[in-house]
Amino acid sequence: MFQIILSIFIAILSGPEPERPNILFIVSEDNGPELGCYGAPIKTPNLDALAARGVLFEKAFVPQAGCSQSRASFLTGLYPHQNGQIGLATWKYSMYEQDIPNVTKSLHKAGYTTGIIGKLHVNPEDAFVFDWQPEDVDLRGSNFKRKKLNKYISEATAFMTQSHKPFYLQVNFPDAHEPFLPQVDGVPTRPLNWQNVEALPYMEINDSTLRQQTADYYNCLMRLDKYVGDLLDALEKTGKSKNTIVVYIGDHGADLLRGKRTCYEGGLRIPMIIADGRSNSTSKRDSNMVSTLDLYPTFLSLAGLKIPEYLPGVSLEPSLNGEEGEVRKYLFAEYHTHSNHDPYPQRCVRNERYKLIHNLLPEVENPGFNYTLDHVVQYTENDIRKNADSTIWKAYINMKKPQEFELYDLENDPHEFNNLADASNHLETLELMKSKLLEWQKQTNDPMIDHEIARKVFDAINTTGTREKERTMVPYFDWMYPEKMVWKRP
Amino acid sequence: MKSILKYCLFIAIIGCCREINAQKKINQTDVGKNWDAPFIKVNNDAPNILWICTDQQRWNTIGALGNPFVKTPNLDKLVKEGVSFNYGFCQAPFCTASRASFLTGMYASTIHATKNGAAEWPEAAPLITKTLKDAGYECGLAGKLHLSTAMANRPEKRPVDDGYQVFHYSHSPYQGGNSNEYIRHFKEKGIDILALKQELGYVPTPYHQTTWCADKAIDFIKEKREWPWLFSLNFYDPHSPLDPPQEYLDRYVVDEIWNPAFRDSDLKEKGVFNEVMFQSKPRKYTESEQKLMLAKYWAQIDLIDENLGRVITALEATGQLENTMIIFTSDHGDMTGDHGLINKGCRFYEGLVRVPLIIWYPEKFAQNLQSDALVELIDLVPTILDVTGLPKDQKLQGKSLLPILTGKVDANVHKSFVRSEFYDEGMISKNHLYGFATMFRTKEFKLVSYHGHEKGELFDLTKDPDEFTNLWDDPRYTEIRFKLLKQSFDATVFAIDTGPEKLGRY
Repeated sequence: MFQIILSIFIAILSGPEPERPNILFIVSEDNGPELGCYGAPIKTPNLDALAARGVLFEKAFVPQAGCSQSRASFLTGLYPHQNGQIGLATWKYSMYEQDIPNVTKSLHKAGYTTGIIGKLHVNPEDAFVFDWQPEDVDLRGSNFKRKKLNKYISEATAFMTQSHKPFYLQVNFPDAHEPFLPQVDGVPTRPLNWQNVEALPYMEINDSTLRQQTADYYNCLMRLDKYVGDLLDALEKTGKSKNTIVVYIGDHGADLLRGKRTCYEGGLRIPMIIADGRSNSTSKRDSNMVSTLDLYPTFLSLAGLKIPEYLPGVSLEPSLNGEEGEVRKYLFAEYHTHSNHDPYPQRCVRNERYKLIHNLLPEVENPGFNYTLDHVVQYTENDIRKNADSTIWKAYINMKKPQEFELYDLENDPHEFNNLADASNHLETLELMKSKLLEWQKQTNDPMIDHEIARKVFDAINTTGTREKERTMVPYFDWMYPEKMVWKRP
Repeated sequence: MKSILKYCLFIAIIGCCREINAQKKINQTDVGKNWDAPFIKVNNDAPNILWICTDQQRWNTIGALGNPFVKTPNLDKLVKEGVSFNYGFCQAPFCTASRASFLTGMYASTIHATKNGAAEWPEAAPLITKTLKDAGYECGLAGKLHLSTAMANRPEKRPVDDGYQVFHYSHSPYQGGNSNEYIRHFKEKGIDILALKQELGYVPTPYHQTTWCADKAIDFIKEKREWPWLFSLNFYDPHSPLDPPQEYLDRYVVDEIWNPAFRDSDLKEKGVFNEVMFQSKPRKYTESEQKLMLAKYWAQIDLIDENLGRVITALEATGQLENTMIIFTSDHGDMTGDHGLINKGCRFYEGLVRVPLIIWYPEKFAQNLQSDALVELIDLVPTILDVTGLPKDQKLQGKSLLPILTGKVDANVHKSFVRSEFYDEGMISKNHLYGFATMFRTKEFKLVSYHGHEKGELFDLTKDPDEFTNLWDDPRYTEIRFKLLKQSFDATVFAIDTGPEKLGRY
């Protein structure tokens, strides 16, 4: 009680500043837009409700489908090749410079109180300014064991209640990362099993194994939804929801076949919902292509700050205000590596209809293909052969050593199984997409525009560590950032 | 027509689904058990495992377990908060065979890893570290591995896949050659370990291999990771040469410590086996020699304890302590003067085969529990598999300790006998019969067969716990000896690797 009175006093004393909105940023792990409001056959009432009072971005993407790479990107507003976080922080990949501006630094400097629950997963950690984080170690890491999920809510409540200044709170939930735990603390109350679901459509295989994996993935998402609901209720109870912008994203697609660690839609496409508590904006579905690189500029503009020109993203604020935002014609993404088991440099561009993937080292096999099969999905090439029809099987096998360019017509081939790069009737499209990709690589100072550098990094990753891949740092900074001037200072 | 067929099929499928759904409801209680995700194979709450294995540390060397002289506050803490086994036995009284057995959960003879100095690791069974790695653990090691020959000029060849992703190898502190990371580490800093040893007679604490091994464990523990880990902290100490840093030895009032178990009769009694290689010959040490030897041995353990404390502090500081299971054991013991013998070899006295075994995981296991059950170190692998939720191969010869650890059964009952073996036929000379020997020990008796020899050993442990009186030829024990020989023979035969599984009737 005393605290409440105190905070009222402080609020009065600090006078009528222009009231800047709080930002509650919810990030889930390893999930694409497989939610009720995106048309998935599961119930996610809380996220659906959030979408119903905000803007649902139908075509939202991350620049690289890996945790650290994606997180460093939305925090700095830069592509992985620009900030250096091209692989997992747990495997010692890092942004190449601590001074790269990021969301937490900018908002903290502007007077926000910054907090984080769950993992950061970006190196170096000191590049980020968090005024607060929970004491409990389980709530400071990735917590794939899903321990104390209720505590995420109570800690968030305490932080949001006690923050006198506008706050930025990033809540990182562990679902739907593997292991796909069907039920934790009785949530979801009725887990699905394979008999209840079809495998995710983009795998184009629907056997019981992949259906079971999909079921357990859905179970994770239903659990996520429950805790997102609890968190939003908690925000409501603090009385601050009317001045809080809730942003929800998944950090990249599902850890299933053709998901995470690829440039396919299953890897890059994510759910993104933004609800501005200050406006009573009704349910809006924005079908423009957006990127998580747009979040940093969005946060800056919401806080009334200037958006530096070097940032490749754009603010989504117009869309939140019911206006037509900037229409993005081309959206870019990339892949470098994840752990040290799966390097394979790629660059990718898509427009509304087509996607081009440029495999920078077409002469080598993609080690990630078999690594994912053997160690992650535990599904064999034989299983694919047995359960997929022949064109699908062929496309899968091509992933092992794809040709230099992959061109897909997303309108007629939404799951990207029919490569049109050699099709004579698509030559023009291919050339157009290639030129757009190159233009972007130049604009963003992509070091891997030189394939020799891509090759060096690939080789170094492959040879770093012992036979069993000890996590030592790969010396890629030397080649990718010799002058440390890839991004331009604001 | 086609559409009618489709419709029929549709109805049929709906019918099936209903049936399946009805069945599913019955199975609702199985939720989470049968639907385990296929990706990470270990249990969701599988703990980190810190496995400390000292070299040549005999059983009665821990304060809280009855040694009033050693200074082991950290081990004492593990004893008070964990489960200790007073009768833990190694499956071979020397390095390679013992380590091979407790890392695989199989007797060394079954998996063909019976000798120190063997040409190679026979690859007959997976190490627990490989099994854990394949199931999602990250495994690290500091110190020795010693699963095949590990000489300076013939560095140890690691198994094809030992599961260790982090491998800070130092077979022994004083071994030259390039494979000793410990020596290399200090050499790069301009410190010559061997010169220090020569100059001072010991290596000072900051540069000691024990300290270095603990440093490596702490580095490993501090790494950020999103998966569980196992770390093998394999100190070289308290292995001879007995050379603790001086300040640790200075803490002992040598005159006041106890004497080893020795009687003059040992010179003759134990000398009977002098020709069975290898083991020191019994000799009479002066009292001060004996005591100084013990003080040095214990001082090395004190240094280990202090470093264990540092590692535990790191676990605590990184918030991992409550989710870490600590195992403390040793590969075999040291005679430390018992019966006038030192070091180890082809003998099976308690000082050699009985080792410390503490399992600490207060989050899940009993606290301050001392078990008097007979336990073998090969029981650790099935225990770890149980704790992590992994399947146990039928071939495993160990027996899980989990029921005792969780306090579900009588802590003093586990196995009716324990075995230990020695088949080290190396270094044969004409004057010596090489050592092939096996031990079979029950709670009451210990039978040692020196194969190819007339004489063996039989001790009545209830009456003679220090094993002074050999009853092998005592007519009053003929029947017992026969019974034990039969049991030992059976156990040996049952442990034989019978080769590939049987597929057809013939």
